[in-house]
Amino acid sequence: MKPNPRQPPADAELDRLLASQVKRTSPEFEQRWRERRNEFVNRKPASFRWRPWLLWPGLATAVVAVALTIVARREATTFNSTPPPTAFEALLSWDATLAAALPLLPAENREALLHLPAPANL
Amino acid sequence: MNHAVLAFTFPGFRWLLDPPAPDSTPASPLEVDDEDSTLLRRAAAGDQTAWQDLFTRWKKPLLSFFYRSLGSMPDAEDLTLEVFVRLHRAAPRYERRSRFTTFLFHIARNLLLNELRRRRRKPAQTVPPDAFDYFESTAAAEPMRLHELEEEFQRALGELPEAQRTLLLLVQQQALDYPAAADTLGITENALRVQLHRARQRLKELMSRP
Repeated sequence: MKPNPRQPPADAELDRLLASQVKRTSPEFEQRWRERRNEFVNRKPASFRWRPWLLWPGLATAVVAVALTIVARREATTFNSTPPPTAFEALLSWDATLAAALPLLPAENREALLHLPAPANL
Repeated sequence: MNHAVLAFTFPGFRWLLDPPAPDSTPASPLEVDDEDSTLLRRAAAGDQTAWQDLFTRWKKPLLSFFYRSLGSMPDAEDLTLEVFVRLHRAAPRYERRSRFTTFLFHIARNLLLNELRRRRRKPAQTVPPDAFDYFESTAAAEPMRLHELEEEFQRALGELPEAQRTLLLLVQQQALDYPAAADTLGITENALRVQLHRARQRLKELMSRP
């Protein structure tokens, strides 16, 4: 008796069909694979390049480092500030200016100055 | 500024000072050193034999998976070769955190989904039942019945939603266990059990429909 093809397949039949795999491959397919395989071997895939990944963090670190250096130098300048040394030319200039007041320095003039009455607001 | 301050401020600098030792973390249960992973590592280093071994091991499972999904052997061949192209590209980045089969069928399914999106209606290019390994085990059965079964089966598979079809194929054709199949499809194991039952029922209904 011919089985009815529209009857639901038995579980065992369904399992066999679902588990089935092809038995063979075509020569053309195998040839295409060999060509691909040769390409794979001759052309290695690009490996993971870590340098681009370090570029931006490295750049940011460099910028921050430069900024920190500038701030640190400015702070150091503020704390250690001393009056600038007087130039030698300036000293000569003052000497020339004060030379005119030399007559005030004799002893009798000094005595007179010491006995002047003090201003009221002192 | 000393290294400790830099390391605290910039984690990248800490990494430069003290890079993590390879394999310093304890191996997780998923970290499997199976033969395929080893083959892929060797293949990535340019070992031709490793590529050939991988191909020999996976060509028939992949061809079968794509053929049953698309109903066309030329397309199945194209996609199978494309899987290996993707493997070649991904090989240097492959981490053995998941199983090789999960990794492989992730690639295969993505390619399949792209192909299904790309193609509209395409005439099926089916192959006779004697191209499959089940033919020998059922050789005693009437050849006519086998041809009809094969035809009905392939037609019904084509009418199943992609997710159900892929699920059935991963579990029954590729013999992936439930965690691996669920991982590949991005669903939970419980959902997989329910979907598997429904998919089987639906396939039976489709096969018995005139």
